Amino acid sequence: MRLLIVEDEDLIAQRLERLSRQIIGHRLQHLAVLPTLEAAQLHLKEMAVDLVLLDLNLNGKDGFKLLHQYTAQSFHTVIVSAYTEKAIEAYEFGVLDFVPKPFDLSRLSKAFDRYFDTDYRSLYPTRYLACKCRGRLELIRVSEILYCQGADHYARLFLRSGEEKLYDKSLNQLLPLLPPSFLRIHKSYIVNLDEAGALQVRGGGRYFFEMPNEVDVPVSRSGYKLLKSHLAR
Amino acid sequence: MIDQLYLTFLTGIFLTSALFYMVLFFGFSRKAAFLFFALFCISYAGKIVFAATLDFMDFGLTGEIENTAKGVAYYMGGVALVGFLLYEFEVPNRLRYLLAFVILTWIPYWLHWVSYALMFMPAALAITGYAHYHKKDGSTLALVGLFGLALFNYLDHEQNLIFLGFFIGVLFFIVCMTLSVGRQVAQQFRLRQEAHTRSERLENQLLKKSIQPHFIFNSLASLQELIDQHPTKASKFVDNLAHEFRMLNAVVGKTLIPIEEELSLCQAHLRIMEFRKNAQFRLEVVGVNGDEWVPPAIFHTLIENGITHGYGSKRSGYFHLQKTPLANGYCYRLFNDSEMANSDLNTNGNGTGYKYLEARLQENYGDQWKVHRGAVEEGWEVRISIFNP
Repeated sequence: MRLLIVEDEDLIAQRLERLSRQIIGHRLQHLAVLPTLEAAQLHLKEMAVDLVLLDLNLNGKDGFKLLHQYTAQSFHTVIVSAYTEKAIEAYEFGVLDFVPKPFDLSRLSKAFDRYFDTDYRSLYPTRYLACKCRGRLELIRVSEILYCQGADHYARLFLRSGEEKLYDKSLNQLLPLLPPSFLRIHKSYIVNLDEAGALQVRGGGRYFFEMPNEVDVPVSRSGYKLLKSHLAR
Repeated sequence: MIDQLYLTFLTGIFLTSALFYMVLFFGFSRKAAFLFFALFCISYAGKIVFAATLDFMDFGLTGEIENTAKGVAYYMGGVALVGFLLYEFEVPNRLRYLLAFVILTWIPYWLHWVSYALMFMPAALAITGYAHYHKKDGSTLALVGLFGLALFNYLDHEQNLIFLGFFIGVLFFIVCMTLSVGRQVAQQFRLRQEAHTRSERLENQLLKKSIQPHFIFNSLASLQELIDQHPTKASKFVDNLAHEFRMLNAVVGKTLIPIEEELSLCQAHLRIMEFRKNAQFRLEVVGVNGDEWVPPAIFHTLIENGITHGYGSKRSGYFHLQKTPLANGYCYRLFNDSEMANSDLNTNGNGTGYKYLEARLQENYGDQWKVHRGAVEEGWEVRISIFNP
């Protein structure tokens, strides 16, 4: 994995780097530690990154700026900050975890677990997704989404309004941030059960969801099992 | 029968006034003047009791003892009056004057050489006249009260025009003085309240600013790393933290502190930040004699601000504090070689420090100060000018 640490205090940056190396071990492919918002912005423009450990106060500047600017990017974010009062806001913008300072190895490990665990669902699901739309960012309410379709490294979001948006994360990366009503019912589909219509059976035991936009979303065999166990809960 | 009623009424008023002044003394301010006035009121209550034997207060004393008691009450009232005025108007050497007065009047009074009024009145008028000349608070009301006292006394004793005139005169004087003291108490209370709120607010601000949770949490996170990796440095870091908090604690309730204390507070903060940022910070001071007094934590605040906003990637910092005389005052200039830009002026968190600085300057120098801040060549400067110190 490719990790970026953005922290302006040297000792804490050292700590994050040391503990991260200890946790990730051989899975670490690339690591950068940067002390300013500007350097981090530059780095993200030029390099692909999987996970960012982000401090919220960078020499008096708001670390959220990075988050708002790049929620549409393909990396996950873990906030490491003393400003615990900003945790809720951070989750709303789709961060994977909020690690309050001071922190120890086991707390930081938990944050990395959330990154590596494909079944992990955030305790505080994001309320908005930021999509790049004609060169600028647009915030989309998660509750507006009917379903998501995977397409390589990004996801197509189908909205209640009938619009379709492109989101810069794969379905794998998107799922942990979404509320529990979103279910991965197919390798290529995540569906919002709150919006899904009737479940249809067609020949050969194939299942489909009838969506309000008159599109049938396929449900795979394993997706059907998941759905059953989800509804049984 | 009517006489009895009047006298009982007057006694009640005198005793109530005495009680009021005693409550003021014990509950509001330990001013000797309040005690003297309480004594003054009590002695007149005593005088009525002994002078006109009240039905309900017949102590069964012989005429001679009663006369003596009356005399003592009379004399005590006079001394209390003089004492009250001396202490109320804060006449210099008041205790000596009071003793001299007692020594000079004691024998003439008991031998009946001079009348009561002729001994106490001139002294009371002289003190009040002195206070009025020096424009002391309440001296006008005291003068009016004394003239009333003298007038009623004259009309009663010399002219026999007013029944119980003397006591009414005393009552008039008590009303005047209570009015004056009441006004002073109210004013003092308000001023005290205002000053208290103001300093409390600033104290609070300083504490909040310096011991912010995130300052502590960030320091603790740094400390964790030191404990894990450099245990000897960790202990030094804790020392530095404790040092800064101790110093803050020592200056937090004050409005002005010696500049030496302020500078060591700055040094303590620099040492902490050196650890946290793994950097070197230097503070140079020029043009300061060492006998200056400054509001607490003002340079500390500026240095804190400088480090927070100005040293993102730099591994060393240089602060320069210089005091220069002005035509009508003096100026402190604090320079740092940071990367702070004018655009940082209004970013988050930058404002609170300056608000604190301005409030402290206002508290100490009224409107006789000016703060200028901005980017200069190779750094950032803040200039604090104090006028007509």
